[in-house]
Amino acid sequence: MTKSLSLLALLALLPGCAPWDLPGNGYSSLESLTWDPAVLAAADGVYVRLPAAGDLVRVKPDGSFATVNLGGASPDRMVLAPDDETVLAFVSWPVCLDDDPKIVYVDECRNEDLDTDSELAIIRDGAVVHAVDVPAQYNAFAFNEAGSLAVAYLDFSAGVDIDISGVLNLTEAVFVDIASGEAHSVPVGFAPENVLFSADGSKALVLSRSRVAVVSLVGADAWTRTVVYPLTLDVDQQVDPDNAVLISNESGDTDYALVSVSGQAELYVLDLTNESIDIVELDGVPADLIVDPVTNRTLVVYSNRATLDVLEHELFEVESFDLDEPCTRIAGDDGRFVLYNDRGTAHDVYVFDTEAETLDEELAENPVMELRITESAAWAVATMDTESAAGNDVSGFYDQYHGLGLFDLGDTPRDPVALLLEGDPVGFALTTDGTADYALVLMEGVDTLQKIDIAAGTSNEIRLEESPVGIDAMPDGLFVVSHPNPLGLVTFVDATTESMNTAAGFAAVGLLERPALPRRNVEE
Amino acid sequence: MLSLLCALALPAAAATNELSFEVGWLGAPDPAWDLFSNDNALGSVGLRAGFAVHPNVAIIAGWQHAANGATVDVPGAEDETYDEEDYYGGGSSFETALYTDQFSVGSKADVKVFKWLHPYVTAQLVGMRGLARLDDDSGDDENLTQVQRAGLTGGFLAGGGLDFIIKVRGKVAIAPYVELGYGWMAPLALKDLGTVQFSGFAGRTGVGVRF
Amino acid sequence: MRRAAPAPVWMARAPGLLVALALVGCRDSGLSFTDNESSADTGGWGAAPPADTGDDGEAPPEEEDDFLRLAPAATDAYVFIANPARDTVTRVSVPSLAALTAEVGETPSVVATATDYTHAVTLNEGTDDVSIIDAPTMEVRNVGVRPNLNRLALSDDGRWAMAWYDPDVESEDPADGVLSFNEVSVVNLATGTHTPMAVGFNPHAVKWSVDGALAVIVSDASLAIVDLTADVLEPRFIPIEEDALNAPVAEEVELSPDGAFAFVRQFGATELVVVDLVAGAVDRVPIGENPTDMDLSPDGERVAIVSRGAREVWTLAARDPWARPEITPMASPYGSVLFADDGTALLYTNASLLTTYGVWDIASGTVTERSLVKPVASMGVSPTGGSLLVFHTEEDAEDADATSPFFGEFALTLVDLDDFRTNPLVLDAEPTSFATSDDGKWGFFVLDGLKYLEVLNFESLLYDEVPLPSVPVHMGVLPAGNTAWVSQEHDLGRLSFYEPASGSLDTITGFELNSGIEH
Repeated sequence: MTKSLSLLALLALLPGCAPWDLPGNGYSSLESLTWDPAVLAAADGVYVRLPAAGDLVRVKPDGSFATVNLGGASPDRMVLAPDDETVLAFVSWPVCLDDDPKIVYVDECRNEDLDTDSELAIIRDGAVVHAVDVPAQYNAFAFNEAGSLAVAYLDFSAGVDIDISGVLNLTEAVFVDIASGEAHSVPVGFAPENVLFSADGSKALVLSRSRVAVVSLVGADAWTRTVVYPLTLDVDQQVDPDNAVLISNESGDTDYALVSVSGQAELYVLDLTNESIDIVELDGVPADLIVDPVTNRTLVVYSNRATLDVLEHELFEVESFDLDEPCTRIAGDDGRFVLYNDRGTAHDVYVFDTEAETLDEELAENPVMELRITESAAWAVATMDTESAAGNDVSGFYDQYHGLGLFDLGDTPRDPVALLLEGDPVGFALTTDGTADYALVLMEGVDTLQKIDIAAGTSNEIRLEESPVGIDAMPDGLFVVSHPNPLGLVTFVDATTESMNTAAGFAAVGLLERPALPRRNVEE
Repeated sequence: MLSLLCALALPAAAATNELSFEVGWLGAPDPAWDLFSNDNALGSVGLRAGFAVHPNVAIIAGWQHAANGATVDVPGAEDETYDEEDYYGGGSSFETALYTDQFSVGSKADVKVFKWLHPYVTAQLVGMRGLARLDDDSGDDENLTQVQRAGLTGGFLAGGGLDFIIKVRGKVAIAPYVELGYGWMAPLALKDLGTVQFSGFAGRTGVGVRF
Repeated sequence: MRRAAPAPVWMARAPGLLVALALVGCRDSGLSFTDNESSADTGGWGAAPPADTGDDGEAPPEEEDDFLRLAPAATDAYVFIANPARDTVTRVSVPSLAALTAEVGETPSVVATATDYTHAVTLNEGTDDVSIIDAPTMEVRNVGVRPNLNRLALSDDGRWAMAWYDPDVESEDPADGVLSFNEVSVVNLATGTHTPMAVGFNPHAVKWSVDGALAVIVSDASLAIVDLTADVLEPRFIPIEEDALNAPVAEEVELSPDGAFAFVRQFGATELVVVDLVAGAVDRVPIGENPTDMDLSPDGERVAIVSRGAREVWTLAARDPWARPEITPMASPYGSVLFADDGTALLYTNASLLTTYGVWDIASGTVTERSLVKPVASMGVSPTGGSLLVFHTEEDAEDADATSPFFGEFALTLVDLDDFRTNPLVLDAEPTSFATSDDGKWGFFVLDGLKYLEVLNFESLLYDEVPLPSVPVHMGVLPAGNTAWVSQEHDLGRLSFYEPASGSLDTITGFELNSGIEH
């Protein structure tokens, strides 16, 4: 009897066992990520894909999160429109070709009867406002400046696997009116690689292999291809556009398009008014080009040529400025530009004033990985890579570490400041509180956010819950930091007040859902 | 009801009061269960009590408790590469746990074939409470990513079994038993985590005291 | 003036030329003579043939290479380039370099521009028509002409175009079936009216009267006079030789300024054929032994004939050719005459390796000989008559100094005709094209295979060398200005414009792509 009572007492204690001592006897694995750390920071929250569950959640800065109803579809790719409020998501869902009404779940449908359908979902404020029929293979978007129009096209350079089901037309781009959800397919040429919009929004230029197509966006001939500029007359020759800029006049009309092509030391000048083509010969293959609206000229740099070329927009004559080292990127606007090299081992950073035509050379302690310019245009901040240490001096010491370079873009600049970083920078952003500019830096394996006063060169640590993997800026001045936690963890940081709020566990949403066949219309 | 009808049809009396300790299992075909266990069934332990209301019929009530969990590996964000330090190279993992408590009530109708062998049938209504927990660091009681969701569901259990009666003294007997049948539970909704459903082959085995 | 020479040397040397021939309309910008034949001949200038005495022991005929004649031409604001491969004409505007392309008939082989700058005209051998292109608007009208024609000329007043078949010109679309050697097509550019007519055998030139009333179609054995003021155009046939098939070559034809007479210099003849265009009568006047060149004075009042065999220059009055001629003796056997102005002319020869030239003072009748560093290949005088440009042969005279820097080299000499200062220049290659500005201040030329535009300042006698993006093919000067244009080798077309005052070189490349623009 005593033994029975003891046994009963033991059994009665079972429900009260320590709750967080998980049994953990089994083992399982998921085939997909629980959540995609490449989040979209929109004005109404952060949109996060949950690949394992096939869901999309919106996480708000207050830490709450909710699923976005996609009608049973799963998000494959997302992009944020320039209005920072609209999310365009390619979604897909399984379809069972067997009409048997008893088949409800995906695993009940035979593999040979399984197919996939897709659409483009336009999401606003956590809900789908429009669903647009766009081929799922399209993997790239371009937006007009107002953010009211999106162009979906297939970018082969993205290296995606293209699943061909039935017939796939690779020569079309789909123009989507984001407000109305209307879609218009326009034949633009094989393998479109880039889309530009004119300043007045009346036309779009679609750059594809060996041609540039102009698509009208307004008027009676809207959504039609009005002009096609050939980049070669030889059908056997393949000319691939690489980079392009649009040049507008003082009235705001877009007059020209400058197009560089892969592997060719030429710039195609497309006169959009007179519909003619000119080719400007360069002395190298352009690595980057940018338009300066102040002096109405285009700046061109080359990866294998230590020269900055400046082209005026009348006859496109070239004025060259010698550099000590080649530059591959140009950043900036409004008359002041920073030239740097993010591909090699070069250390030079140049500041070019287009009005004064002065070229100031600065030295980055280590090769530049990424460079951004503050909103005030007073500073350029660059993350720097490690390099093979040479020597036992200060330079050799710097070589061993990643760094953050602070470059003064003022009229009387101070010497660049090179800060040493504890770890590999996995993300950085720039912010301002109105009086000072700051750089926010995240480093791999370091669970702090460094807030660096750029002018002072000092830093302040903001401790995070876990080490981060990335940082994104939200429209209202918040920053969202992603952490590599399988159950989902992001931190919303107010860089001004240095306050934080955390959202956790959102990646668990839908993990237990048995995949069902959505949108199934079965005749009973 | 079924057991009651069977009992009314049977001539020999066998029902007694009982208090038993039992181990049970219930089929778990739902793929969501894979995140908690490698088994195909929900194993549990619990108690059962019975009160004879008829020579062949007893009202029984039981409670089964289960705790299952697993470690779930998640692939890395980039293509997996072999890393000596981390076998799964760039991936991560989290732990899961599902605690269930089944409360059943029903009837049991048995017949005395031999003194020591009492076959029976039983039918029970079952209510289940489930608590799911997910945690990426169970050793830290204060980490943020501790997910907990609870839910309720119900179902039934029906089956047949064999009571083996071992007289001890007078009416008191030790009675091991084995019971097999079918159980079905409605999907256990765990809020935004999803659902887990148990159904299929069910069984009980235990030992109790008859008096 | 002689008939245009056979295909110049540079054409034979450039098989890899771009598809666009850059055959633009002719405009006699910078000419030193009053020969207003708006020929669509490229005017490419080639080296004079070596001194070849020929079978009869006489010196070969003089080759008057009109390198000062604008080969392709432009209007004052546009340059027109034909592309026979794409059946298009591209118009490049100056100074904006805007390019517009229009479709014309098939295989346009010639493009010419009217001197009033209103039209450009192409001869389309593939469709046997001409395309009349409105220069400002690029609107195109096609007018059918007789089949298999391959030469085109425009009248000076821009009202008429004439096309004919020249067997010495390689056709872009060779004839098959029936081929006529007597047919010409006359097209009224304003109305688009086509008038075909049969004229003499093998017409090879057309002369337009100064008042624009007459067109004289020149064949070796006849002249066909067309009254352009008539409602219906008909040829008035005037034979000048009895044997039409074996007539001596009518090497040069000039018209008197009043349109009353046509003067025909025939190869090997010692008489000048004088044709009364009004009465239709044909007469002959003696002009000395072996006449090799004929030119009208700038005012048109004199007809000068160089009789190389007699070493004389015979001068006739254009209005009265039967009046007593003035005969000026020459110390050397010159065979060509070039008027600098109404009072001065230059005498030279490119048929032999003479290193002298004569300056003929017409009033006094004296010829002063001056020496040169090398023999003459061609000569040209600036439009103002103030400067002389002498292109030399690569070959040297027998008594040439082998140590001279000019020995064995191409060369040119700039000469100030006021004080006869000279500036001889050694050239790295053979000059292939030349033009001058209308104000007579600038001369431009290009060298075979070299990526340069050579700029000559006639006032200072100095030169500049302007690098070009690629090898030049054709060049010219825009009328009524100093801007030179140079077409260059490029698969998609390249045209450069050079303004000598500012020294700026502006280039447009890829204008052929315009033909591929789709709408």
